[in-house]
This record gives sequence, C-alpha cells and structure tokens, in this order.
Amino acid sequence: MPTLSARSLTKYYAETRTLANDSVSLDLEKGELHAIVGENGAGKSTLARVIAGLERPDSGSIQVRGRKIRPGSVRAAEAAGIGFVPQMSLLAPDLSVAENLALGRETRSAGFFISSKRIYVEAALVMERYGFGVDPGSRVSSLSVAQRRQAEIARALARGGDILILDEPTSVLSETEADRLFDFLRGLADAGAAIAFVTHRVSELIERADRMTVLREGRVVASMPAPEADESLVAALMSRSRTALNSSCAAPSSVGDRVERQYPERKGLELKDIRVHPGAEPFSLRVVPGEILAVTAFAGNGLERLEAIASGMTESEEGAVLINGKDMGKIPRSRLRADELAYIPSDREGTGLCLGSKLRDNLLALRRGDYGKLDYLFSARRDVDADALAKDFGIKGGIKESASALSGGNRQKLLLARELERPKKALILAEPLQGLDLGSRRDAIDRIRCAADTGAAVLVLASSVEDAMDLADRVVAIYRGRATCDMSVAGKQGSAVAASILASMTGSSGME
Amino acid sequence: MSASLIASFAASALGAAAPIALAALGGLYTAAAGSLSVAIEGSILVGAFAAASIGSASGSLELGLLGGALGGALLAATVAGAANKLRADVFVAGLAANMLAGGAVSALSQSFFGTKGVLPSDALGRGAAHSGSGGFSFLGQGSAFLVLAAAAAILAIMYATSVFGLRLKASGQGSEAARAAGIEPDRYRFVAHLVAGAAAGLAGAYMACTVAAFVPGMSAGRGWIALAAIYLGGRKPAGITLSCLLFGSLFALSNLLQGLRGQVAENAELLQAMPYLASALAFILWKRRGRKAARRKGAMGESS
Amino acid sequence: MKVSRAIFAPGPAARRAMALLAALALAGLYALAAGGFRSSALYAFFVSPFASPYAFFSLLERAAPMLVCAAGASIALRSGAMNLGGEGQVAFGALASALAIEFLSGLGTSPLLAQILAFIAAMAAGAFLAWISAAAEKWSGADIMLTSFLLSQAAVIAVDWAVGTALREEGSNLLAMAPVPAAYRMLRLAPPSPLSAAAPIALFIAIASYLFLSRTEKGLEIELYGRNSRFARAIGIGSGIRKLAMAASGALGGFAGAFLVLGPAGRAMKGMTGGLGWDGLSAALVAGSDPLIAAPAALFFSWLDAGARQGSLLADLSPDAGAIMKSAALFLVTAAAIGGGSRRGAARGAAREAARGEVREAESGARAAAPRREEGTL
Repeated sequence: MPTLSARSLTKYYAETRTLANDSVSLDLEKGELHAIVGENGAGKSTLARVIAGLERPDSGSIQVRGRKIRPGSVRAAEAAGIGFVPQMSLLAPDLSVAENLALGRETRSAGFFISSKRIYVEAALVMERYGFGVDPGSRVSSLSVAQRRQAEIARALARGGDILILDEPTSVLSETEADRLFDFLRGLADAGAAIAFVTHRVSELIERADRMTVLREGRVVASMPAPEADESLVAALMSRSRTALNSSCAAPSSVGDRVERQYPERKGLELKDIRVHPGAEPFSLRVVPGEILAVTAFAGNGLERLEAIASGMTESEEGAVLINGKDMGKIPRSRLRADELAYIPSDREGTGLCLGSKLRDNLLALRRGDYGKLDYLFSARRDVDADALAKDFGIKGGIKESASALSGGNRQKLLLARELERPKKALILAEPLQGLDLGSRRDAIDRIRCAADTGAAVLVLASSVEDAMDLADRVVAIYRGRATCDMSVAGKQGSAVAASILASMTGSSGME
Repeated sequence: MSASLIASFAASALGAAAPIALAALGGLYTAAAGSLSVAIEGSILVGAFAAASIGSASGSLELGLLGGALGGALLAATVAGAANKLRADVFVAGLAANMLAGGAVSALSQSFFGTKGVLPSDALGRGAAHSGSGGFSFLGQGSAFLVLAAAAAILAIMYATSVFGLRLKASGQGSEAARAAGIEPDRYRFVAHLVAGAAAGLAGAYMACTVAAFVPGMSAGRGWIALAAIYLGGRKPAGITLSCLLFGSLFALSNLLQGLRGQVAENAELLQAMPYLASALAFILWKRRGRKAARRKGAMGESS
Repeated sequence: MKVSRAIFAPGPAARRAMALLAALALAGLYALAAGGFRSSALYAFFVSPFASPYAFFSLLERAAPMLVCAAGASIALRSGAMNLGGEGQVAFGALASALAIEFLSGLGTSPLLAQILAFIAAMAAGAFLAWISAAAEKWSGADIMLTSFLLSQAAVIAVDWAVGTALREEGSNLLAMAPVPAAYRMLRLAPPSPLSAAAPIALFIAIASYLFLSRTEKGLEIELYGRNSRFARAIGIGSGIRKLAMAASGALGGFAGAFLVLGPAGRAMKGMTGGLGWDGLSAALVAGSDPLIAAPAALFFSWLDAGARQGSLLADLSPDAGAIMKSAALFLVTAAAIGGGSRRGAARGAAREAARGEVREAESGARAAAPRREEGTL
C-alpha cells in the first residue's frame, strides 16, 4: 500500500480563474524520492500545498496508509505525518527558530505563558538529530538562505513524520548545497520516509528521483520510474511545442575586441571599489562594451548586494559605478533608466513589476517620457506600441489587462521586453532567465547576445552556473565578497569549466 | 523652582502620559498582528463618554471604568468585524469608526442627557487625585490610575511572554507562517483589535476621571499620538512607555505655560498646538535617526 | 470535466453603488426609527433637501468645497499617501485667502484679480503644509499619515487662535475676522440661495483632477508609485512624485478653504473648517480615489448632512445623524470594494513571497483581502 495516496484532486482559483489542478492523482511509496515536474503554471505548487493541507481541494481525497485524512487542514496533515517545506518561507522572520518550530504546539508554563527554555531545548534536539547547524535561539531574519532552508526542513520534520513534501527545494540553493540536500533526503528515504519534491529542473529529477509525475496545465500527463525518462522526453511532455534553436546573433568569440573597435569611445560599465560582503576587501569589475560578464555566487556571498549597488537601488558610501566614465549616481535616475541603463531585478514581483497596473503601462514604463500630452490624453499610440512590443517578445496577455494576470514566464518576458527593446549602454540583468520555459529561454539568451552586439556592456548576475555559462563570455565567481575566479567561457562547454567555476565559488581556488 | 512645582509638573505629566501609554500598548497588539488600528482615537472618545454616562447613571466609579473599556471595545469590534467578515480595508474602516464615534457620542449625549456639552460625573471624580472622601493619592494620581497601571502592566507582560502574544506576532509576519502552524491569523487580529479598543476605552475613562466629566472632543488627537508612540518606542512595551512619558510632559508643559500670567497667558490657546507640533517633530527626528543607523548597518551587512 | 464556478462578481463600481444604496436604506431606517416611525421624518430626511430650489442650491453649495477636498485627497491617495491633514490644509488656505483679500481690497485691486490672487495664496498655503509631511517622509521615513494629522491638528489650533483672537475683528461679538467686502466675495449665481460660483468651479476642478491622474504622464507616475514604490524607484520615478501629489492635495484643500471665506459665509470664523477635511477624505474613499466619482459622492454626503439637519428641524432627528450616516456609508463601501483606491497592501511581504515561484498557483482567497501597505514605515 502506498504511504500516501492522492486521488482526483481538483483545485480552482476563482480570483485568477485558473484550474490549477484537474483531477490529479499521485501515489507516494515508502522509501522513494518522487519528483513532481512541470513548467510554470502547470499546477505543481498547488498540488504540493493541497497535499500538505494548506489549500482545500474542491474535490478528491487524500489517504495516508489507507486512512482518509481531512483535506484543507494543516493540523490533520501533520497529524497524519505529512511535513511540508514550501518554496516561500513559512517561517515568521522576527521570531526565533525555536519559536517557529514551537508555533501552534507551544510547551507552556502556567497555562498562558511560553516556556522559552523548554522550546529552545526541544528545537536544539531536532537540530542535533538531523545534523543541522542552526542556532535555535537566533532570529530567522538573521539566518542565511541555506540556514533558513535547514530551519524550514527541521520544522517540517519536527511537526510532520515520515512523509515530506518539498516545493522547489533547491531554487535558492547553490549546486553544492543542493547536492547536500538531496543526499540528506536520500538518507531519509532510505530510513523509510516517503518524499515528494516539486521541481522544474529536469536534470535534478533524472539524477535524483526514483519516480516522477509530469504535470501539464493542471493534469497528469505521465507517471513513470525516473530511469526510464530522459531529458528530451520530459521536456516534450512538459511543453507542447519545441522552438527553434538557431541564434540570430553573432557567436560569442572575440566579441570584446570587435566591439571595442566599433565603439572606441565607450568605456563600458565599471564598478569601482565596491564592497559587497562584511569584512571583505573592496574590489572592482569592468565590463567592456559588447561583453557579457556573468557574476555567479552561492547565496549569502554578496550577489544580492552587488545587484543593489550596480543597479543603483542602494547608495554605497564607498566606491562608484561608472557608465562610460560617468558616475551613475550623478545622472538623474529617470534619464538613466530611459536611455543608459537597463535593469532586470531578481525580485520580479516586488521590484520588477507593478502588478496592479496595466500590462501596457508596465511595458512602456521606461518610455513614458517619449509621449506627448496628446498621447496620454488619447492612448491610441501607446496602445499600438505596447501591442507591437508584446507580440515581438511573445507575451501572452491583453495590454489593457492588469499585469497580475500574467503567468510567471510571461512576467519575465515583460521584463525582458521593457528593458531590452532599446539599445542601452549598460545592462544589469539579475536572474534574467528565471521562470522561462526552454523555448523562451533560448530566445532570451539570443536577445541578450544581440543587445551586447549593439555595444552594451552586459552584467549578468546569476546564482546558477548553467545560466552563467549559457549567457556569458566571461564568468566571475564571488566567494565571501571576493572575486575568486575570472575566466573566459566564450565558446567553451562542458562540466570541466563548470566544475572549475564551482570550485571558485567555494573559495578553493585563486583568480585565473 | 520650588519642589512642589516640580512635583505638580511631574504629576501632570504622568497623568497626561498614562492614558496615552495604555492606548499605545493596546495598539501595539494590533501593530504586531499586522492590522494597525487607527480607531484608537474614536475608542478613547467613546470610552470617556461611556464612563461618564454609566458612572453618572450608576453612581459607581468601577462601573464607569468598566463601561469605558466596553465602549471602546464595542467600537473596535465594528472595525474588526468589518475587516474580518466584510473584507474591509482596516484603515478606512478605522477612519469611519472615528467619524462614527464623534457623531454617535454627540447624538447619544443629546438623546439621553439633553445636551451636547460637558457631562459632569461625580462618580468618576472619585477616581481622581485628592478626592474628598477617602482622599487617595499615589504619585499625584487617583485610584483610577492604579487600574490603568495594572491594565498596562498586564498588557505588556502578556505581549512579551504569553502564548497568545507569540501567536499574535506570528500572525502579523506573513500569515502563511501562522496558518501553516494551524493558527488562524484573522481570529488573532480580531482579538487584538478588541484589546486595543478596550485599552483605549479605559484610557478615555481615565481621562474623564481626571476632570470628573466628559467633554466633547476630549480625545483631541491623543489616539494618534499613541500611534506615534508605538513606533517611537520601537514596538516594544518599554520604549512605548518612555515615549508616552515624553508626550505627556509636552502636554503638561503646555498646560503650565498656559497657566502663567501675562502675555503668554493671553495667547495661551496657541500653546495648545505645541504638543502636536513637538510630537510630530520627535517622530520625524526619531525616524531619521533610525534610518541613519540602519544605513550604517546595511552598508556592511547583507540582507539574507 | 472542468469544475467552474460561475460566481457573479460585480465590478468595483457596481459594488460601490450597491454599498451606497445600502447606506441610503440604513439612513431611511434610522430616519424612520428616530422620527417615531412617521412619514414626516422620512420626508424631512430624504425629500426636503430637494424640495425647493433654495434647498437644492444649498445642497450644491455645501458639496462644492467637499468635492474639491475630495479631489485633493484622491490625488494623495493614489500616490500611496494617506493625507489626514485635510482640516489643517483647509484652515491654512482659509486664513491665507482672508489675509490676501483683506490686503488687496485695502489696495483697491479689482475684485476678480483679488479673488484669483487670494485663491493662489490659499493653494500655496495648503500645499506648503501638506508638502512638509511629504518632505519629512523623504528625509526620515516618517509616515505621512501620522505627520500630516499632527501638523494639521496644530495648524487648526493656530488658525483658530489667529482668527478668533489675534486677527479678530474689533468690537465684534463673533470669534471671526472682519467680513470680506461684498464686492470681493464670489459671484452669487441664484440669490437668495447660497449657490455661488464655487459649485461649477468645484466640478471643473474635479474633472481636471481626474484628467491629471488618468491622462497625464505625471498622473501615471503617481499611480505607479502608489501601487509599488519599489518598482517606481527602480524605473526611475523618485519619491519626489509624492511631494508633488501631497502638494497638489494640500493646494486643493487650501482652495476649498478659500471657498469657505469667499463664499456665502463671507468671513473667516473660528472653527470654520467644521470637519470639511474629513468629509473630503471620506468622500474620496467612498469614491475609490476617483475625482469624478467624488462628485456624486460629495453630493451624497452633502445630502446626508442636509437631511439630518432638516430632520432635526422638522422631526426629532439628531443633526449628528449626518456624521453617523457618512461613517456607515464609508464602512459599507470599503467592505464592498476592498479598498479600491486606498493604497495599503501587504505588497512587499506578498511580493517577496511571490517572487520565488508560481504566483498564480499559490494565490488564494485570503490574500486578496490584504490591504495595501505603504512601504518603509508602518
């Protein structure tokens, strides 16, 4: 008998008019690592949340060891042994780890009051049992991303039992951290747990899972042992169409020289003496016009701060950011963003988009100064421009509709369209390929390459080496705020290069 | 500068600070729950009115104080109910509640007492300092002060160490965390509003005690000053109390200056603006300091 | 088989209208109950404000300054700032216009020019007061909601003192400044009713505000900033836009204050603001921060006030019924519309959560109710 058996789960969200799960069934066996795969919007997260009791399904049932459990109740799920590690944090940031673990099941003294000592000890026991190095007394907001993941898992294990559901567990982890996580999960499975994890990384599933279930547009399209699958099969199952692979722009070889000859007066993008990590030495980076430089790092080593400084969202007291020799801070930001600097933030919904506004207004946000009073009074010209831009980049959505109606992939395309439609002098692209399916991903890579060819200096910030290598001419790795590797990857392929970069990201080799 | 002048100033400051502090501590619950109540101002007014009317009707100080707390809680319940059940915006509902408080108090006063003016209440006067019978006085305050101080202490302790307090704080930090722990944030927010309303109502009742009457509009913006105090105090009970002492001193100073003879007294009315100006200034300067400190820290650190 | 929920989900405007109808019904119930269940109470409350041209024109005249205030409040709300300082901005504007007229009439300036200058002075005064809050926010992060209220409270006290004491007309029993000379008051459109040029001017201002917000570049920037200020900053819209919005809001508040002085009342009096700022804000909230819809909203509120007043004269209703009804309308509208233009939201929290992964899948009903929150401070 399967440990967990979900039958015909259906979930409809009225607000977005989405049928997220359409009669989905899933069996989870004891001792197995089961991958749930699908593209963006396929319904994977919803399925995980329904099983975990965070969402109530409209119909269907969930049985654990043959007994039905009450749907839509976290307590019922936990009582049945289901622990959930979400993609979005379930930890209260201002509370301590111990308080988070105890929340809802607090050990009390005198009935009303919390026994803080006892909940600390209980949390410490959990940490020790699973080998996590997190101090239970520390506030969640002070933990690094990997530590927070550990705390989430500890929480799920402490509250659940032998069934663990994880939603995109490696999305914020580096490759090494992801490996360690999967080793840990394998250990749990071998000890008898039943584990399901949601992912859109096909390579992860093939290498790590025992079985897999493929979702597409809310329905199960395949369920099989993982060894029987290969990348192309899974990719075909996940999306209906396959897009052309040909790049229409120049291949990345000696691009730098060529473009420097074309644009001799441009100095490119320079980050001078910036400090991105406490205690680290300031360092400098230069991206010449026409070059794509990718900076990659594990979370917590300075990538976020680098993004903030390079984009101008944070004013750094030391150092400067120069675009073709001019201090970025001295250029009025509105003109900077309209003409000189493109910026795709990693925080897509919070910083990249104005979800409540129309798609048109989001798309033309940088161009707003180009239109005259009449164009604002009567919106025809803006509508036409927005429509053309949306079509060009393959964004599916009405231009007068709210941007919140777009799926994740379309939102990313919106960002790409808005920032890449015009040639700019410098591009800061943080996680530019997030949420894109295979076809859109290739298209985006092409467009970024084209942008570089027009003479822009492109700085890509990517936490995955795969993205960095697909996009860049040169890769710089950062560890603890220091550049530990600087190598050209143009035209190179393969795991040897990737391994070398990875090693630098852990700080074990010097600059090349 | 005589000792008695200092003593009376201190008593005046404490008397002004106390209701603001209680209201602020109650408001802290709503701030922690992520659903800040702006109806505190209205609850103070309703509490003062309820205390005066029930006190007069029953002749009992205790019933008056209780009535004040209940009145404040009732107003808060309308806000919380609208926010919870009707999915109303909690800020707008709070503003509506403040308007309602003003109109309702005036209308009820007219209906039951035939006047929209001052409502004297001897019963409440017994709660003030130096009252005739039993002449109780502590730190220059009357017996009502003890009730208020006890209530404030209970609120502060429960906030910091109780299970309810913890779950409340979790509810305010992204409701996913609370829901995943099986806690229903909406319920906790509702209770937080009731607590804030009762606290503000009791604060209003206390204010009525100090002048032994209900005076139309007597809340006079103190509910908003309480909100400023919550943030000035860093959302911690100790800090909040200190901030309120500051604000109370400002009111006492204004009163003191108004009582002086001569040129100043003639334009005394203008001095009444001083506490509000000073509160705004204090709030702004404090925020500025906090921002500078965060920048300094942020420069080297990293948000993870 | 697809599960579909054909839920009748009326649009925000329809819901707002339903809420107002409900408020009206409540008002009717109250009028009936308080008036002893006589039809005269209902008549007094609902019909008499329209019963004669005089009554109707009075209705319009009272709605005019409320509408201008509401238009101003809408602009601030759209930028994400809750301007609670309406009372103070109105008071400042009233005082400024009174002083300007006194000075200019003494010089013998032409009435039309004097009025124009007086309105400009009023707008400047109101804009300045509001701008302080916005500038303070930029400098320190102090929430506009609190500072605007506190400053306004101080301003009202100061203006009341000025009008009632320092600048008081000598030898008068009233706590007021000298009356504005008849030639310098606003044109009366239908004497003996109080209707003045204020009403059409107010309508014009409402239309202009609407066009500003929805059909200009600055208006777009205000909307974008109000919806997501982090996004706006990343795009290159600085927080200066909020200063503009607050200044505009305060200017309109000041303008409304000038109406009070140059209108039928004809002089600056102590306590003249009479809750106008709050009425304007409430009307704006009821109208979803839309200056056009604020016109019927202001009319509606003015009607409730008039009805309550007539009711207290002709039947036994309390004149405060107006305030109670207005607050009921506000409750009902905000319940129905889920905060339309009012701008608070767990935006940052939800946005950060949503940033990782599949937002559409993770959306659930509870999230939709979260009010939007101004970033950075509260």
